[in-house]
Formats: sequence, C-alpha cells, structure tokens
Amino acid sequence: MNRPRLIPVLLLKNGLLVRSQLFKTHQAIGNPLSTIMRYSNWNIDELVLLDISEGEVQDLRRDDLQISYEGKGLIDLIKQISSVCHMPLSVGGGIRTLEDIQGRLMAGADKCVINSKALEDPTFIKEAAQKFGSQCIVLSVDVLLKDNGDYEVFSEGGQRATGYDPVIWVQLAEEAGAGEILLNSINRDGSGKGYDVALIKSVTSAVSLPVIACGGVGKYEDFSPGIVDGAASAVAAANIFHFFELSYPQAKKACLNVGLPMREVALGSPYFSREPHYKTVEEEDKRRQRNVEIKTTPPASLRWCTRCVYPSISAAPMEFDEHGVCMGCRMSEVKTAIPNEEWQRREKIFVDLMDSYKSPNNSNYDCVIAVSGGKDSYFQTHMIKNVFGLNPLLVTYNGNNWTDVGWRNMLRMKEVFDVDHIVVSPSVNTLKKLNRLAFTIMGDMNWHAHVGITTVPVQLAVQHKVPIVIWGEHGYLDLCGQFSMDDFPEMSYRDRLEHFARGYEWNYMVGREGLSPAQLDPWKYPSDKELFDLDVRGVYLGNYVYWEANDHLKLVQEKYGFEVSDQDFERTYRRMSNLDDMHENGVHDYLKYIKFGYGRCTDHVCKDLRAGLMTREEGIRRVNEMDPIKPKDLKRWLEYTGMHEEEFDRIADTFRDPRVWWKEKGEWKREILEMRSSHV
Amino acid sequence: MIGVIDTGLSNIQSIKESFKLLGEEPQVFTVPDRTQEVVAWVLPGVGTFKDGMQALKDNDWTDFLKEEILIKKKPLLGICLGMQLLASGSTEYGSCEGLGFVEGKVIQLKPQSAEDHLPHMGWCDVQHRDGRVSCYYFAHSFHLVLDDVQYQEATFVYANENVTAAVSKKNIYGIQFHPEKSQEEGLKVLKCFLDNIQERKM
Repeated sequence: MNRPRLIPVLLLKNGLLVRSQLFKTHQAIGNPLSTIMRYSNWNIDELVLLDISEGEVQDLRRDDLQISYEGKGLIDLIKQISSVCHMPLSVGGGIRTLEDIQGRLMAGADKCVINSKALEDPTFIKEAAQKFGSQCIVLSVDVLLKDNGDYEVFSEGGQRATGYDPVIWVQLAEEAGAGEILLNSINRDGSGKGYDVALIKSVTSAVSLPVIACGGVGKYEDFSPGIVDGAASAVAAANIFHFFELSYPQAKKACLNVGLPMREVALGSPYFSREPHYKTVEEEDKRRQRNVEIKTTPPASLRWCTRCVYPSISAAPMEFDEHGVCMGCRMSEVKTAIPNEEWQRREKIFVDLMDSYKSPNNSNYDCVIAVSGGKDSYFQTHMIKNVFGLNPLLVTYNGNNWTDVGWRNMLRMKEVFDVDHIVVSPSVNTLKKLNRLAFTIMGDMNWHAHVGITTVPVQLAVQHKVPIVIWGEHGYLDLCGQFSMDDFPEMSYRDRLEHFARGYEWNYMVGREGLSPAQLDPWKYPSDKELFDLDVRGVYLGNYVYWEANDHLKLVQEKYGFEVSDQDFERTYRRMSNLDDMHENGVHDYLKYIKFGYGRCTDHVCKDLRAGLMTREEGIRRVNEMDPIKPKDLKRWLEYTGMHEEEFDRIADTFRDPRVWWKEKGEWKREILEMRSSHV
Repeated sequence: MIGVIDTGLSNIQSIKESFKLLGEEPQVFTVPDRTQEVVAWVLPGVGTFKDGMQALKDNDWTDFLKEEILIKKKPLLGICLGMQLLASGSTEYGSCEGLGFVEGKVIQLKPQSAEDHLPHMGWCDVQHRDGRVSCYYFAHSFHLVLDDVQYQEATFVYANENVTAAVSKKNIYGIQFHPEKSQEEGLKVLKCFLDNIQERKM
C-alpha cells in the first residue's frame, strides 16, 4: 500500500532558512541544519529544499552559534545536510545544466527539482531523465491564477509569464521523462488560505506522475483536501512548519485523524536525539581557533536599514527587501495598519483558543504565564486575569541578577493580581558557573537566563498539566519581522535551542566546572512526548492584542503600581525594560556590541522610530553615543564570577565578528552609521 | 571494512552517512582494489540499467564481483538499481544483460488504474517473508521478476500484483527500496545487514 506523503519545503536564501510570501517577501527563520535534524528526529516522510539565493554566498551571519556550517556554496551545505538527513531529499533552485544535477546528487540529494531551465528548453528534462533516471527529476511548476480565471505557468520564481497552460505543460513534461511534479500556486503562497484544489485536480487528472501539492496551507486541516479532493500523492507546505511546536507531528496527526493512510506520527528516533551530541574535542578546537585571524581592512559587508537603524550583520534573523528596508520596519507597517476590528477578531480567536483548552469545572489553572515581573508581565497578567477573566499560574525564573526595583515589581504581582506565583531559583553557585562558562563558550553570560526563562515555565506547565503557556510579544516578529502577523507563531523547542540557547543545550554544560546533569535540571526542556501528549502550546499574546510598550507602561504604572528604574541605564535611554536582570541592559548587551557593533539602544531606537516617537537623526545620534558604552555593572559581574577585567576583555575580543570589526594600529574599528547616509 | 561501489551515478553520500550513524565507516571504491580488506560489498545505484551495467563493466567490476561474491562468498547488498543489476537481465530501453547473481528479469511496472503512479514513488508498505509489515521509501519504474520466488524475501503491492521488494539468496541480498532514505525503518534494515556480516565472521 502506498502512503500519501507529508512534505515540508524549506526555502534557503544564502544559507539561511527563510519564510516566503507571494514569492516576494523573505523573512529569515534560522539555520537549516537544526531544523533538518529535528525532522530526522521525527522520522518525517520527505524533504524538499529550494535554494533561492542571490549569488553564491552562504552566510549564517553570526559566529557565536554552536551549529554553524563550513564551506562556501550550496553543494557544501547539501553535504552537511545529508549527514543528518535520512529521508528522501529533493533539491532545487538554480539548476541549469546536467553537471548541476550531478553535483547535487553526489552531495547527497536524491532528486533534483527543475523549473525555469525546463521551460526555456524542454529537451533538458529528457536529457536529465535519460542520464539520471526519471525518478530523480522533479519538475516544479509555479502557476498563477489570472484575473480572467485562467491558469498560467510562470518561470523564474514566479516572475516571468510563459504562456503555458499547466495541464499542457505537465503532459509535455511527462512525455519528456519527468518523474514527479511539484505543483505550486503563486496566488496561495504564504496566504494561509488553503490549497487551490481545482488546480491540483486538473493536473493530477492529466498525468500519471505523482504530484506534490504546495502553496496555501495555513492550518493543519488544509492538508487533507490536497489528497482527498485534489488526488495528489503528497502534500507539501513551507511556512506552517516554522510556526508551531511539533508542527510536523501535529500536522500528521490532523491528516491521520481524517483517515488519510499516512505513516504514523513518530517522536524520537533511536538514531537521533533531540538534544544535540557535542564532540568535546572538536568543540575545544573550535574555541581555540576562534578569531585567530583579524582583519586589517574594512569589510564590505555592512549596511543598515534605510528606514530604521538596524544593521545587516546582527544577532537577530533579519532580512532586507529590494528597497533596503528591513523586515522589522515592513512588519511594523503591517501591524500599525491593522484596524480595530481586526484586533477584535484576533481577541476573539484568542478567547476561543483559551476556551478550547479550559479544564472542566475550573479544576486546573487556565494557563501558565511566564513572568519576569517587567512591564510586559504586568500587561499580560492584566489582560489574562482582569480582561479575559482567566485563572493563570505565574512562573518566574530567578537568575539572581535582579535590580532592586525589578525584584519589588516581581514580588508585587501575586498581591496586585491575586494569583498564585511560583518562582524557580537555581543554586547561586550553579548560576555563577554557568555565567563563566557561557561567557567563555559563546560570549554571553546570560545563556542561563535566556534558556531558563524559556524552559522553567514550560516545565511547570507540564508538571501541572496546563497546556497553554502565555508569552508576551514574539521578540523577533516585533524587532525584525521574522514572521507575518497572520502566522500567529508560537514558542517552539527549535526557537529555544537555536535562538535563545544559540545551539547550546544543557548537556553541553555537563562536566564543565564539575556540573552534573542533576544540577542542570532547571534548563531541561520537557520531552517531545510530554509536549505532544499534553498538546503544549506557547502562545504569544502580542499576536492577538495590540501591543505598544509605551502605552502599556502607563497602564500598569497607574493600575498596579509598577515601578520604573529610578536611575538611567547606561546603554539605553529606556528606563522601563529589563529590570529583572541588571546585566541584560548592561554587560550582556555590551557583548552584543563587541560581537556585532551595536546594542540595545539600536533595538529600542528601531522600535521607537517605527512607532513614530523619534526622528532618524535623533536615533542615529543616540545609537552612536550609547551602543559603545562599557557599562558599570561589569564590576558586579566580575566580582560575582571572580574574573578580572583584562581576562574579560581578552575573551570578549575573540567574539568580534570579522564582518563588522577590523584592527588598525592596535585599535578596533567598525563602520559607523552616519547621519548623511540616512534617507529620511 | 565494508566497501561501497561508486558507479558515479548514485547518491553515495547518504549510504555512507547511514552506515556511519550505525557505527560503521565504509570505504568508497570507484575501481576494484585487491589490496584492501573488504568483508562485504554494497552496490547502490540510481539511473538506468544499461548505464549501471556499463559503469560496472567500464571499471572492471563484473569479474571482480563474481570472484568476491560467487567464489569468496562475501555478502553483497544491492540497493534499488543495485538490486536490479543482480538479475540476469533487463528490458529497460532495449534488452541488456545483468550480473546474473540472481535468476530473473527486470521489467517496467504496469499501472492499471489512476492510482498506480509511474514512477512508483514514495512510502509503501512491505510484507516480509515472516509476515511483518514495514513502510519504506521507493523511487523506481522497473522491478525484478524472479524465476524462483523462494528467493523473494519481501514484497509490496503495485497494481494488484505482488512485486519484489527484497531478495535474499545465500550471501546475496537486494532491496528495491532505499533503506538509507527510509528513516528509522530503513536504518534497521542496514543494521540487519551489518549484523549478518558479524554473524558470518563468528
């Protein structure tokens, strides 16, 4: 019996995984390898990898991540992918010659996806099929539904009309020896509106080839019509697999639930663990070799968003469009344009979602809220408890770096909101060790905080059998437009490992400074099985209610006595952020500057520029003044961890990104955003 | 050490990585090398039967393999086209002789209804001789018809017919599906091959 396939499509742009909309907008998701490892761990059916790079450069754009890859072009990347990919792999994008196909097959691809070249020269299909066999030639067909109701095949990433009717084109291709059709609807790409079933049906009726349907899936229920009504052999999607926890197993479950005879959901292959294996010797070598070569001339790679002040080399997954405007600015425009009725619709979605997970007879908490005691925590709890009338359990990770004001704010929550509040406090000695270790390993002493904050609330949710964990804003959606507003992205293990933990899972720390697995309990994420069985979802409230930090601050100050810092921070002009961790705005952020040449002031200026609270000139002035400041809390951190400043500086310097920094006459230099380069 | 035969047409990388995951470091050979101590051979392959045979002949593999497999009785695993090449011959794009290690002919699959796609591509349930059913990944248009079904180790159903999914004849094994691409189930098959080699040694 043949089983219909469920296939994630990964889009690669210059080595980064991206999300796509209407074939035009690309938002950076992250590292392809970590996502593919997760797919192997879930035993998925098959994978399609489409490279839409401009030029040959492959760049993850930050050097402090654990999972990086070497090599220059796509072929090197495929080789590395094949070491973690034990499923059928189709690779497409930029295939123009038989040598291109051979190179990809030799590197580890099983099938090659061809598109524009075949339209230019249909004999290419024949030549390729004869040389490599039909089974490894997948023809990708991008179809536009025109205003007059006709379908037309487009080439070159949906840019060029070809005059072909899709039915005629796939029949020609079958005749020529293509082995499979990857059918994509341009209109539905990234729309979340479901498949164009009529298009799929017309193609599957016209050929005997297996057809993979793609384009338009916005929810798990959208997959099955591709098979049931469209008669496709496989259903594929790109974006949706990036949005939710355990997306692939959940999508499978939805298909199996409606009776599709797919392969079963599988969690946890015995051959792959979810937590990466680290090779100690290689890791030490990597560390020793870090930045031994220092540039002596300016690198050419840096640029800034033409609207805000965000740099192209950064800690965040940022993409720029063809006008040089960053996705953060683009998504902010979208967000600002959302009318009130739309926010009301979103609130309703949220209320329905919470309703569907409610325990019978109020026998359990309605949700866990991850709180740091900051303004966002107050706003979230205000909304959940006092606007939506739900009963939350507050959970806080105590990283032992509180400001006095932040500590008071956090402790006040259980009183002013009348809620239960669990504070998880790891051993201070363990915290000191993790501070030192993470600083030397990844140039970020706050690994413990980033991982702890994203782990402890989920642990408590699983312990208390509460499936919903509420988070505030999706940080990267807001800051760098990583997702679109209609994606409703949720917290996932991948996000946590890749972005918050930078690829360093708790087991990386075991044995270092004598740390035992038990001592690392607060940083262990619940297993996939636990997450799947309870159907844990990490919901960002910011996707459902209007979010403007400056407005929220006023509300929580007036209503709940929230206090802002009584003194200025050195590295940002905002006094309301990161009161839970004095180093977050201080020495942790200073290290971001050391690595990438910018800091939190840039983040805050970008947000305020987009909110129309500041001119770009003013923003540039503040950024250039505040980003380079070496903060005073460094003294506390050095005493806390027993390190000397010289040692700190020496280690910090090894993290300077060569795409940003160079050295002249013993001085570190970087390109500075000048007022005159602005286009206001 | 296990030797993987590279005919220049196949996805050697995935086979290598799969064995590596199972703790085995196979060596890839483009031409026979008598100086190396190889305990078992793997013959992968994609593409056409004719090109596959031609590549084996061009690089002097045919006589060498006969000696290694038929006389020295070393285990051999043919995968996909590699399994088909073990047969007496094929009718793909005109008739062509095979290695002849297993008596049988390679012919094209014949779809009977709209549900039978050609190529046969995707995950398909396979019935093992002992009754077990597992799901593996296939990508092929031709299949092996054995003269003697006693060597048929596993089958799958295509167009209401039982088709050879795996053969086993003494030290000769062949599988039509791709174990290196069949996730956990496929890795189990390769593990089984490795275990067989171990048993032989003992």
